[in-house]
Order: sequence, then C-alpha cells, then structure tokens
Amino acid sequence: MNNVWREIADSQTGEKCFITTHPTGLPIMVCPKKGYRSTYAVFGANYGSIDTAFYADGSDTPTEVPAGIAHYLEHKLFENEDSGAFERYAKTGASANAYTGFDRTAYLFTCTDKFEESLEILLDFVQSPYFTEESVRKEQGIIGQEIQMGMDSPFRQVFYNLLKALYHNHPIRIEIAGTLESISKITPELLYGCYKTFYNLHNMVLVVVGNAEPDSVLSVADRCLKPSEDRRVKRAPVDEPPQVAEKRVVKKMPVSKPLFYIGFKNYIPDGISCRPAAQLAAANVLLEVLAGRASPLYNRLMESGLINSTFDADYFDGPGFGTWLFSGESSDPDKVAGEILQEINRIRREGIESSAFDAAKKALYGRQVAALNDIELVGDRLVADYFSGREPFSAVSAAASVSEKQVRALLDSCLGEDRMAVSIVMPE
Amino acid sequence: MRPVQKTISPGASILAIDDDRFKTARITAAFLLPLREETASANAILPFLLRRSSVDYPSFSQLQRRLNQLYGARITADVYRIGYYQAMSVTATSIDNRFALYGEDVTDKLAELLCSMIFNPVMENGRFPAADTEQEKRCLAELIKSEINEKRLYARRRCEQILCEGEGYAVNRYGSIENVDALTPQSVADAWKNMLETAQVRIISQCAAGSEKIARQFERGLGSVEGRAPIALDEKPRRDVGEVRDVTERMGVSQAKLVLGFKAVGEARDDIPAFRLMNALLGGTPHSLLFKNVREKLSLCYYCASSYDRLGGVLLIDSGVEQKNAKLAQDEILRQLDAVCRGDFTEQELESAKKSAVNQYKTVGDLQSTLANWYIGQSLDPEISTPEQAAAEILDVTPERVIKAARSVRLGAVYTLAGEGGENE
Repeated sequence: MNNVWREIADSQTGEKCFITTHPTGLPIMVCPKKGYRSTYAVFGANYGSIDTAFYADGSDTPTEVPAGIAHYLEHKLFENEDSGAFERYAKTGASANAYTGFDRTAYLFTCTDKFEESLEILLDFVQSPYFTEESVRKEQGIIGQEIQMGMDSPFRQVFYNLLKALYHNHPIRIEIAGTLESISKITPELLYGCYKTFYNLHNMVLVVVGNAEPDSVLSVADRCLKPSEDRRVKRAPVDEPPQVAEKRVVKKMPVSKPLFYIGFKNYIPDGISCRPAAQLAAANVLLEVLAGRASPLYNRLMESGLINSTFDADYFDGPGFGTWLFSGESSDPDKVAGEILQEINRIRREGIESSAFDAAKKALYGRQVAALNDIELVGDRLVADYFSGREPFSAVSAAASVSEKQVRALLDSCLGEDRMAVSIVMPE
Repeated sequence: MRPVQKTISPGASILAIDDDRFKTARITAAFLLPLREETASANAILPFLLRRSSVDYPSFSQLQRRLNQLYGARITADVYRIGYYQAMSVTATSIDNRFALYGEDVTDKLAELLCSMIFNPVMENGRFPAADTEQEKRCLAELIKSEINEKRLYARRRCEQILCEGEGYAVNRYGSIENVDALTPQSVADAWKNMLETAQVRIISQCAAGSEKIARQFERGLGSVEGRAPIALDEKPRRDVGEVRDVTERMGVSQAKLVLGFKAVGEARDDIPAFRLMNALLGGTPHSLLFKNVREKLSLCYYCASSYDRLGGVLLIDSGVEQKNAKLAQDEILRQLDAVCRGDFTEQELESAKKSAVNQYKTVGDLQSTLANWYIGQSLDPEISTPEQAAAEILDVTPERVIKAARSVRLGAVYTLAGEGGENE
C-alpha cells in the first residue's frame, strides 16, 4: 500500500482506518471492512445550516446569508451544467443521496459494483457547481414542499421549538431547510459565494467504508480532485447567554397525545467548540443511569402511566451547542419534567450507585461496538468526528474507559433547573 | 452465502446465518398467525409482554439491568404484517463473544434468556401479571392512536385499508383500540398458549460462533409445548379490485398527502422479478419516471415514489403536494404508469432501474437486521431465496415482462389527506 497512509486501529475491536491528506488539501479516510459486499462513500463539507454568519478568508466583517442556504446548495449541486448527478449514478447502479445537518453537509452513495466510477461521479459533481436563475427558481417548489412537510411533522416541530426555547441567538434555533420566506431570497450569486467559501477541499473530508482499498480511493482522488486554494473560514462566534430564552413552548397540531421535548442547555463559553469523546461517553453513561430503561426514573414514569415506549434520552452536541434531551409522549409533560428534575437532585444528593454505573458503562461500550456493523453509520460518524476534532473510533475506547469521576463531574456542572426548557405539541 | 435452514419441530424452522463479519449476535423468533380483526390485538400484545421480564428477572427494571450487564444487549418486540399473516417477533441482539471485555459467553446467556422469556414467561395463577398487562395495553393502544402523527405513513395505511377493505391485508397489525381495551390477563394468556400451539415459527440466528446451541434451546422450548399443532399457511390474497374509490379526509395539515392504491390482478402477478423491476423503473429510485417528472420536471413535490408489496399484490404510489396541485400530480402519475404500460421507456432507463435494484439486493446482506427481515418476509414461501438470487432474477427480466406487469395493475383507491381550508387554500 502507498506509504502516505497513517493507520489508526481500535484496540478493542481491531477496526482499522487509514488516513491521509491529499496534495489538493482534502483529508481522506478509508475504513476497509472485510467480507462486506457494499461500499459507502461520503464527501462532507464542514458547513451546515448554522453557518448563516461567517468570516470569509481574510475578511474581518462577517458575511450574513439567508437561513436554509446550505440545504438549498446541497439540492442544487446535484445539477451540473450538462447533466444531473442522479442520472450519472443511474449508469453505475449506486444508491446516492445527500443530507444537510446543523453543522455539516454530506453527499454520499452506497454501491456494490463500479465503485471507482461512482466515486468519480461523487467527486466530480460536488466540485462542479452550476446555478442559473431558472434552476434556482425551479428548486423553490421542491424545497417549499420539503419545508411544508416539516411543518406538518409534529416530531420536527416539537424538537425545533425546544431549540428555539433554549437558544436566544445561536443559529441552531433556525430550521435546517430555512423558511418559505428565507429561501425566496436565495440567488445564484449567494449560492456561488457560499460554495466558494465552504466547499474548498481543506474544509471538507472524504470517507469511504466497506468493500474498498485505500489505494483505489487514492487513485480516483488523484484523477478527480482539483487543486484547491487553502481558504480558511471561521464560524462567527455567537453571543449566546447560558440562560434559556423561554421556559415553555406549546403548539397545537393533529396528534393523538401531547408530544414533548425537555431540554437542558449546556453553556459553551466560546460558542464554537465541540465536546471530546470522553465527555460524550460520560454524558451517555449519565443519561443511562438517570433515565435508561433500567433506571428507577424510567420505571416510575412508566408505571404511573406518564410515559410510553417512545420515551428517549439523548445528548445532542455540535459546534457551540450542547443539549440534554428527554423526549416522548405524555398526558402530562410538565409532570415528567418535574420527575426528571427530582431524580437529578436525588442522584446529586445520594450519588451514583456503583453497580448501576458499571452496567451503564458496559451497555454504552456494547452499543458503540454494535454501531461498527453499519457502514453508513460508521462513515457518518467518521465525518462528524473529524469535523469535531475527535479521533476515529474514539467513542469505543472512551466508553471502555469512562470513569465514575467524569460522570460525577458532568452531573455537578450540568442539568440545572435554570437551564431547562419544555416544548410541547398538544392535540388540537 | 446461502444460509442453512433446518426444521426443528413441525411448522418451525431455524435459519442459521453464521457469519463472523459482524460485531453482534442476533436472534429473532417470529410466530405467524392469520391476521384477523378479532384476534390481532391479543396476538400483538404478546411480544411486548414477553420481552418485559423473565422468571429469573421478574421485573422490567431487573431485566433491563441484566441486559446492560450483557453489554447493552437488547430484546425488542415487533409485529409485522406478512401478506395476510401477522408475525409476532421477539429479537435479542448483543455484542459477539469476541468483544466481551471479560471473556463472558454473552450469546449463550442471551439465547437462554430469550427462550425462557418466550416459553416460560412470568405468570400469576396461569395469567399474565395484571399490572404488566395493563401497562402494555396502554402502550399498545397509544401506539395505535399515534399512527396519525406520521402523516405520510398514516395516509398510506388509510389507502391500503380502502383498497383492501374486508381482507386480512387491511387489518391493522396491532388490531384496534377497542380490542386492546378489552384484553384481560386471562385472554392474553390464552392467546399466548394458542400462539405457541398453533403458530408457524421462524427462528433466524445470526451468530459468528455457529447456531447449534441456539437451535437446541428452541427445540427444547417448542418440545415443551403440549399439543402443538401448527396451522397450514393457506390464506390466499384476493386478486380482484372493485370500482375506484376516491376518498378525501381532512386534518390540520399544510401539505396534502396523495396516495394511489393499485392491485395486481391475473397471472402476471406471479412474475415477482418483473414487478420489482417495474416498480424500480416507475418510482423506486431518484432517476425513476415519477421522480424525474413529478418532482424534477414539474416541481410539484419533494417526494413521489412507488412501492410494491408482492405478498399483498399491492402497488402504492404516494406524493406530498399542495392541495391545489393534487389533481395535476395524480394525472402525471397515471401518465407515467401508462407510459410503462405502452413500453414508452428507453433501454437506458430500464438498464438503470435494473442496476439500482441489483445494487439494492446486493447490499441487503451487509446489515444483520435487513438480512433477517429479508428472510422473515419469506416466511410464507416454500423455499427461501437469497438476495443474490433476487438480483440475478432481475437481470433476466425483459421489457415485455415489465410491460405485462404494469398492465396487470388496477387502480382501486385514491386517498387524499387534505388540509382543513377547502379546495382552494
């Protein structure tokens, strides 16, 4: 194998990943999986819906752009001057897609044959923007329907409303696709501007997982990547106070029973950085101890009829934001919030039971190992970890080594009542 | 890789997919019974009750604590519709023994636990515990009620119900809220006994270390069931369709959901590969006729797609559109179907559909859950077919067979879930 590769291996599972930076500036990661028929490739940009204000290279004034533009750009990149990306993939059989998140955009495919040809298509179309007045206008109908679909989804509404309640200024409070009004302001010029700023190879990553060899990826990269200027783009820091914007938000929609999200905001002083793997592992263990299916809280809420099997707890994290989430359906979401607070206080007072900690830690480790089965999940996580500055597979080793002290430290610094907000979607 | 299927008792088989690629071991036990309105709820609650506890871990929290100790093992309950049958399944997943930090035999313990939960559940005087039954009744009823929350799925289900009214296919896999409310610890215990005695059983074992031990445990479990007399799988789907029923229902939504329901009639319906390919060509991919025309050319929607369920012979095409554009979308959908019927598609379009379908089948084996579902979906078939076989069959399909498949579908239902503001909103 070409000696440009640096190998990272996870000691627990033997999982391997090869990393290099291509001369054009693009970081490349390849994670070969023995015996897999398919290959997952994902070409990601460190650019998402929260990037509505940024400092372009060398500039000291922030550029502001309409909400939803990263997602709009994702849609429009699928059309090049002479053909559409889907039409090109149709010739290889690859199953292709893309997604825009709060903090990243990803273009991807899964294939079982003609991997190199599909990878050529992926690298080529993402590097060949072509926007016209007409093609941009045409997309408004499609994205408009995507936004409407989101407006009708109680799950999305209850989640976005929580983010709006938690955050005063951070753009995480704006929906990824934007609004019908904000997308009407998007022009080819704005799209080209964002493209030039964020889609430079130094601000991107290519990840390939499954049935692939590092050198085969490299040879396609050599053929298809165009040299890219090393433009540094900075996310504009957000002046986000530690307190929540609103304590409680309620919306009425056609649902069978109230849906809720209860969130606790984490304060991230610089408004930009992400949490390291060790802290994410500690957060997940804490959630398992506090609200996992084995916990007294979960069982008490279930027995009293306050929650059903949709109940879930999660830690949601990205640049400049971090939120503890408890979600589900309940006839009385406020009472659920009260019970959660009570349990947090009880654990603070009484401490974490050792056997519960051990079981939660083993459970987290097992789930992180199990997550390595799915090549798409592995690929998406490698992209997220890369942009967040975390080592590949660090979630597995962090789960195996997380300590009670780390969990205790988190419990002492987070989950305060004054950082809590409740979002409810009520039946009409 | 062709898995090995073995009969372990009359009407019960185990399919062993021994593969060391995966980091996890996974065991699914599925029990098949005819899907009927009057029995659906009593059957549907069973996997949820069974996965709650075991004799050794008699409460939900004790069991969950035990599963956490087994490296976050999961025991999940599902109810599927497989054609005119209802499949009650319980699945256990854990990390493979190779990754246990202290050398434990996790898989063996989990298989034992799963068998004890299914064949020897926690009972009080021959009934399920009253509090457990009440809790699962509430959760199941809430699950049925919450179907309106996901508008796209809800609209598709409504269309199927209208299209297949009076058939087992139209029965909700969880039954009805009324029938859930009427369940008692005794009636549920009777349903459990009936399930063990009469259901067709399919075990799927995916485990790096081999499946012999797992097979033996289930053999023992089934052997302990007195008077086991499994049903014959002879429910046959109806192959006719009446007048087109056009139904519009209103809800507070901003986007209308349009669903067209078709049934395949006649002998052409048995040409499964042709139907699979026809579906891919028409609306199964982002280069399909529906995607290219209804979405990309007319910009009417974000999604417009088709799906075919061979077991019910049902083709559904759905789209989310503005209410005022629903008719336009419907006309365009029917025009595209008609184009396939007339053979008005290019060689390239058909070739692309084939490649996509082949790609899709070949990726099935790379996830344990999709591979297990692939085989569970064949529970009614006399012989199993691998995803690779399905891929090879697609490659053999001629344009004539695709046309024949398209010509054999009949529109039976048009369902629109519209906003409350009337036609011109």
